[in-house]
Amino acid sequence: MFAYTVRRLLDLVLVMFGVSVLVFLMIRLIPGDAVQIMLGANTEITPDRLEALREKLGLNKSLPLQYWDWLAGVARGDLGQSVWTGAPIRGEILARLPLTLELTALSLVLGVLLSIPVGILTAYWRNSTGEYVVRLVAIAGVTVPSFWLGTLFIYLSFKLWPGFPAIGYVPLAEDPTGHFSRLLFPILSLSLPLLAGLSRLLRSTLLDILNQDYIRTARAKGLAERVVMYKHALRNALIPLVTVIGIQAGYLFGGAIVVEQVFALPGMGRLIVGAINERNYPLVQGTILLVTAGFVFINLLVDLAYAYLDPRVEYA
Amino acid sequence: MSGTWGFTRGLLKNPLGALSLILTLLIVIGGLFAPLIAPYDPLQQDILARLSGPTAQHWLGTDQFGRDVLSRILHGIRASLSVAGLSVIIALLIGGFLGVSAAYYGSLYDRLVMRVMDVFLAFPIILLAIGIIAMLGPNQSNTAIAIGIVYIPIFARLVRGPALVLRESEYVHAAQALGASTMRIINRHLLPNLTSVILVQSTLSLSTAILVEASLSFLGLGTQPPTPSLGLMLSEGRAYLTLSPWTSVFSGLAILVASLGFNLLGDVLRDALDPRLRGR
Repeated sequence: MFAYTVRRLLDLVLVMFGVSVLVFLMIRLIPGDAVQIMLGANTEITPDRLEALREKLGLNKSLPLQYWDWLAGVARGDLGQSVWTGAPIRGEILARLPLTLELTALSLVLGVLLSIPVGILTAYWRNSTGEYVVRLVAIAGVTVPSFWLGTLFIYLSFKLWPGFPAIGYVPLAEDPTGHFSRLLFPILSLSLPLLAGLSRLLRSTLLDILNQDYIRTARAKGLAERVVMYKHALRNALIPLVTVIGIQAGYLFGGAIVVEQVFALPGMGRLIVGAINERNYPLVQGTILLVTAGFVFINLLVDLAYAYLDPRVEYA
Repeated sequence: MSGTWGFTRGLLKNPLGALSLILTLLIVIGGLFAPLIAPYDPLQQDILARLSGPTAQHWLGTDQFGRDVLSRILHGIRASLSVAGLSVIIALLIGGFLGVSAAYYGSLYDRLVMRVMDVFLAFPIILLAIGIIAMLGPNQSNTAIAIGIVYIPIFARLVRGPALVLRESEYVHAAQALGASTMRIINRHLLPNLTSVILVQSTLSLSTAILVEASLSFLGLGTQPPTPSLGLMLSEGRAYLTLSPWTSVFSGLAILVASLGFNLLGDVLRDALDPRLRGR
């Protein structure tokens, strides 16, 4: 296990090196003159201003030196400054990130928790109708756009319960009830598609397991079906569920960026779309680097948890 | 061709297979022939009939400028299919090449290629696409390029596994011993054996690419107005949601149907082509 952990950590360092190089090159690979494009979005272009911005972004130095300076900054927690306001990017991101993370995490928890009973119940529905309905609903759930689901929720709540605060944002500290009631629909929009995918996965794993010899043995020795399901089948069936959680978290975060726009939530979605429209490249860069690093780390934790949960995984 | 026909008949016997074929046919025909079938010009405004619900003249209603929602949806499907199709072609050609060549040549080249693929896979999909669009500028063809790049590692990984097994197979060794060129081995012996995995993955990728394109357009980072785009229509319709929800409801439904059709088809194809995965 120790050797495996070390090996995965080395993998992580390599992948993060690659990620940092790609993110660093983002500004440098922009077709045309990035500085001119950035300036052109907001002000008149003059040679002086071009030179000043180039100087500020360190674009006058050689490429490896630029990368080194940038990386050293990142290591100190300095992601650079917003091109327009001059404010540190780290602050802007940290102000918006918690809401998006909250949305992602709550949706993930809700989706996983609901998928367990749904997966178990549908695993017992094994005739051909059940087969078709589960597949159709699961695939429809996976392909339903969460931002459409959110829009439908807003419309329905307006029709059925006009007073419900479906849109907007209230900080948790100010009004916890208002905070969570405004997050209810965004969370549902994100977790229902997740629920569809996860419960299908759980169901198919359960079906495989329920056909195994050890389950037949457990039933033959007279164990209650409840014990067979929870102690013998479910525990093993949860392992594949754990492995997809890291990937799902990444999808959910992307979905959250879009769903935030539906509900006018001031999270990462608004920040990054605004940054792109203003050609504020350092902000786009910082966001992508930070969020990707977060997910690389989550995936490492998931891998380690998987190796820990399933003794069959080879650590070699 | 009789093989293809027999295969299609087999799909039709399965209710989900039939449904997936009907949905994808509807979507593809709707998108392909949008200029012929659409009852109105998607940009033609009829300001007096704005924000109307479904009527005999406008089956799916009109938007805030009085443009026909059905016509805009058909053209939107066309845009979304062309972006999704182009992105899958990009991913398939580049990713397929990288995966097969990595498996075939092995050693350092293989490790290098797959490492780079790992780096690309580390990014959350939407975020990487957003980053590429931020660089290239938001428009329809750049959206296709961005989604294509995001999907390259998926195809590279997909074909590398089976290609590794095939490379060590006896008939490939026999072909090598007979002096067949690398290109001939790859074209004649590796690729034909990879068609079913590639077909299934391409169909599933079309489904997700439609969703990613719609998300990006919804954020204003994809297809730009006034070109009709499903994600953009949904987004614009939200301002008039309480007055007239039709634009948002129907454009979202079109995204769902398009994505669902291809996803179901991919799922059914996987069952039909790979019996080991049946019922998954």
